[in-house]
Amino acid sequence: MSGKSFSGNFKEQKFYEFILFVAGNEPNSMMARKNLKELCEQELKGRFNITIVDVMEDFDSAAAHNILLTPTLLIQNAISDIMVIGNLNNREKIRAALQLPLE
Amino acid sequence: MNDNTTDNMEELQKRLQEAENIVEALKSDEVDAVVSKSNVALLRLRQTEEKLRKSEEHLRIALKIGKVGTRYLDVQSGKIEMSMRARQIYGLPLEGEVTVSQILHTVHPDDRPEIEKKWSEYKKTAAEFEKEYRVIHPDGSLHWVSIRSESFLDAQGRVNFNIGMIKDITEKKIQENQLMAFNQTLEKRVKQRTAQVEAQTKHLRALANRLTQVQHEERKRLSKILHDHFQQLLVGARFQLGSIKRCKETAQIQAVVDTIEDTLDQAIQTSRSLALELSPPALREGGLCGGLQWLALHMQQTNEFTLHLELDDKAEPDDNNMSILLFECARELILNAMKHANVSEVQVRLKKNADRCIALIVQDKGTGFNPDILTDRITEDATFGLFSIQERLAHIGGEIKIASRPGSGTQTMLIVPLSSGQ
Ligand SMILES: Nc1ncnc2c1ncn2[C@@H]1O[C@H](COP(=O)(O)OP(=O)(O)OP(=O)(O)O)[C@@H](O)[C@H]1O
Ligand SMILES: [Mg+2]
Repeated sequence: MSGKSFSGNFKEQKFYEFILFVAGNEPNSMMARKNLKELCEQELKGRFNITIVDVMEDFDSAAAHNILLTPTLLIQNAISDIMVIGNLNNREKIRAALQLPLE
Repeated sequence: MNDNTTDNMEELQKRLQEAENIVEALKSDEVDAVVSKSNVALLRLRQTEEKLRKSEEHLRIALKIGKVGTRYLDVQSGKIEMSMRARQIYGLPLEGEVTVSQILHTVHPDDRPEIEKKWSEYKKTAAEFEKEYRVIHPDGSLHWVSIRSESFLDAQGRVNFNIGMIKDITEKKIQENQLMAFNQTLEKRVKQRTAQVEAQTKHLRALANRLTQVQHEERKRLSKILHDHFQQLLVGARFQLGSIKRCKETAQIQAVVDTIEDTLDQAIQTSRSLALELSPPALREGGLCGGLQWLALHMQQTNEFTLHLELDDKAEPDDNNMSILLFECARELILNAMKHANVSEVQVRLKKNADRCIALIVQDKGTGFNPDILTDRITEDATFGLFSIQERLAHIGGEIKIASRPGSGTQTMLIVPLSSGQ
């Protein structure tokens, strides 16, 4: 099973659905936005979709997804979602969450 | 284990991991807001407060430990608050409002432009600032101040206020300056000393050369006397002796013998005066006083040069070597007067000093000279006489004192211990 999921072919086809929860223009939220955008453009060309939710405006959405802190990145998966909390300055942390191969 | 338990375990582990992530994120300062059941709470205020509380605590501690004062600047309104200690450090009034221009006025004119620039920048940049500069108190006294300041931002990222910690570092600066000055003088002294030693070494080397030269000249003089004079006389005597063989008459022979006798007398006279000059027997037999008396006689006869002697018997050295030394020194001083002073008489005094010393004084009323030339003189024209006296006296714990000025004569005093102790 794992052999299959790590095959180059499969990786090419994988599509990522992100929801980034932020709090207005707070510094860490801005930072998370910027970091996520950079990562997607550099490593996931055309294979991603980002939805940004400002919890100050859309509180219900945050509650629905059990978001406790902002910024939080939600990586949506068929089986279960993965959460990454923080400003995403640590690129390796997201790469690990996305199961991207080590550089 | 059934499936249910396994699921529960996995669920539990996942929750645990999530909780851990949340704690970590909170600790890391990477989050902005907490989303609770009913609202969103921004963390920033708390953070700022925390930061402020911490820096306040730092300040309090610093105030306790060092002589630190604080300065608070509300950047938007320009209002300044200063602690008592800060006011003391700047020499500002201990009560009432403080303005920027008041503070700048205390700063030393040389440091003011930079500090003034800094004040105009507080609004624009939040960079930390550290600087040591001088302030002048109303009483005119100068003080060294060190400042460390930091700016804090508001929600919009604008500089909100700036806090400065101010310390009086005058004492530290004085010590630093003293150390620097001390090092400089030390360096200067070492340089001077090195230069002195170098000059002395050069001088000594030149004098050593001169000494060999003097010895060489003396040998040449002796061999000249032996060759030109003594040998001539002896050769003449032998020649005349040979001519006797050819004489037939007693009268003739008598005449030649008379000539030979005359020539030999001359030879004896020459050798005697040479020996006298080198080491007068009067010195050996009559000590220093006897030697000087003979010298007076000798110089009167040969050079028509007069020595006025004033000799104290009690000053007569116990040691024959000392007598010879002083005699030779005296002769050099008298010769100097003959050569340089343009006089035909000198006064020579020998006396005993209270502190078990002998003083030998040679004085003339001649042209005089500046004794400084002896030490200032450069190597090429190094002279030997006075230097040699100085060296020989120093060797036995004595000294030479020269009092002279161009136009007012020369008095040279030699001081040596009564007995050389050797
Ligand atoms: N009595 C004096 N009156 C005037 N000048 C003197 C007298 N004694 C010494 N000087 C000056 O001091 C200089 C140094 O004297 P010093 O005896 O060392 O050397 P010198 O007599 O010139 O040479 P020497 O090496 O043959 O003695 C002299 O050249 C002279 O200029
Ligand atoms: Mg001389």
